[in-house]
Amino acid sequence: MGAAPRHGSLKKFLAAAEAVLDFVGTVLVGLSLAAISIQVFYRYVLNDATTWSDTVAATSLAWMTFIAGTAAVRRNENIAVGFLVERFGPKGRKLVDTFGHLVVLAFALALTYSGLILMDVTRSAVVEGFGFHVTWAQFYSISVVSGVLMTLFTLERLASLWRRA
Amino acid sequence: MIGVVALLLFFGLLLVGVPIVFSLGFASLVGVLLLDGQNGWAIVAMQIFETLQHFPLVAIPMFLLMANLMTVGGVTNALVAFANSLVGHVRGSLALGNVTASTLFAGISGSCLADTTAVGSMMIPAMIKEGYPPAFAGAVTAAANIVGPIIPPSILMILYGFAAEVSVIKLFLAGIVPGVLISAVFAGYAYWVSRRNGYGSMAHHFALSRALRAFVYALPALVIPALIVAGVLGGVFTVTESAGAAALYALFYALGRGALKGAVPWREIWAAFRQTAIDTGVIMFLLGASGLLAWVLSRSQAPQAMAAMMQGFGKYETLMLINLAILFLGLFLEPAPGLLLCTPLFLPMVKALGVDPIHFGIILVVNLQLGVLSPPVAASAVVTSRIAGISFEQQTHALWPFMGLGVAALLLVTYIPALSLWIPSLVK
Repeated sequence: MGAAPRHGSLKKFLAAAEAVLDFVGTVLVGLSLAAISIQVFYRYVLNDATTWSDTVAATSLAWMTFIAGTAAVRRNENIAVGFLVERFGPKGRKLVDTFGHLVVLAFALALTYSGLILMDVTRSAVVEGFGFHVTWAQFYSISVVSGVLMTLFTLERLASLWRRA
Repeated sequence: MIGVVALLLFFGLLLVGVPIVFSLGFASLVGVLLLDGQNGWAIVAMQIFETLQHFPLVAIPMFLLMANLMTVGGVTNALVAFANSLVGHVRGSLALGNVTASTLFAGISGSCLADTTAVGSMMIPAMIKEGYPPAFAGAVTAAANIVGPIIPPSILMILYGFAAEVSVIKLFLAGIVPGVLISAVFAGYAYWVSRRNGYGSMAHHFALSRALRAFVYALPALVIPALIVAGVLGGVFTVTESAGAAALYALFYALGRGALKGAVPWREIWAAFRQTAIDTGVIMFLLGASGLLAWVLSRSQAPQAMAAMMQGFGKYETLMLINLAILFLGLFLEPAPGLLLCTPLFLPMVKALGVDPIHFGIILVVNLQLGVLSPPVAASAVVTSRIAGISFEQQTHALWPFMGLGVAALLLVTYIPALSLWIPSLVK
């Protein structure tokens, strides 16, 4: 009895997480554009150089990649080569799809673990160039967030695949 | 040996439908752990960040944003109208207009599939209405749009410039002659077929006033590649800044066009930013995973092993063998992952043979772009067959003559380096 509402709320949570990822990714595109525009404006109009714009734009790009790449997992937007598996019957297709999801799951878990190690190693190192205090561990934390959400999204897709049967 | 294991695993996962980025990621993960054991765990995330966190790569989302915003501003209509005003007076005008519009569109977008969708959704229905066979209409569109990443600006060139550590602006310049050559060859073939079979009609007589009016409407888009190249060569911008400036220009263009029409398309502009984030995520995550594989290949000395295998072959034979290998890979891989895989594998070898890395970049991009036309994957053919309402097989069948011409152009680009290197040689 209680299973359906639990599934419903988990689905809602994952949909909300995807919407947040979309929103933050979109804002980061704007932030990159703003950083580059300000850099050019400072150099030619104010005859001055910014020290932070390169770092902000490059950091936004790295975060945008993890964020949008994670949302793409839920929407299944990553490019795959399907010509062979499209020839399989429904059973074979299901097995192959399950295997594919397990590969994604393994990579997502590895990314989470690897990100945690990286955060631990760099917890007191400070990123230069922001103009305010940011540690490398904080910067690398996006890989852990990405890994965890990728894991949840993949589990959701796996559950959906097996429920369809 | 471990590099070979990682590559075989990658291809195995690819064939069973695992998304390319995770095939790369998982195969590389196994490679890293086999090479470095427990110490390898930190390398996985570290290497992905190392690959991504570079200011020059910010040009990729900026060029994507520019193309998305220009589309919001209605640039596709303006470019198609301008192309038709130039060639509408000859038989097969829509086929020629299609190739011309695709070539012009390449100047504002670095992505082949985006160009194919944008130009194809306008030109294919118009061509079918004019009596062109749907398969031919789709084939002209798919083939013509492979120049998108060859003519600047180009996402593939930025990726190659990063992976090969060569000047992106020189790559942009190097792509101009090969891109125009391929367009001219395809236009010539489309004209010949249309004339021979009596396809289409002459839309109108040539009128300078019509061409000038269409030119003025298309001018905001036509100036973009010139602004980018001139801005960088003039020392005003870096390539990344030029991409940012182009994106800002496109934002003002979309806002201005909306304001003139009485309604600023805020929702569409937000959607353009969102789409840019999505596209960036897919492309850059691929780059990050490729960076990890490149690390595995480099640590396991795969390029050296490859070079040892090719020992005894001269420069021209090696280029031929590499072209065949890339054509084969292109049957299965999208151009971006193909490029990121081939660069660390082949570049050291061709450099040792005295091939200019800029020249090799153009060979690589032209070759991989042919892959979007060839089955079994043929992403462009998938798009055009859907728009034309025909089967994938009908579409790929109609594409074979274009593939043959594309391979001939690839041979010219491979064996006449001046086609690529002449324009870059004019700048310091």
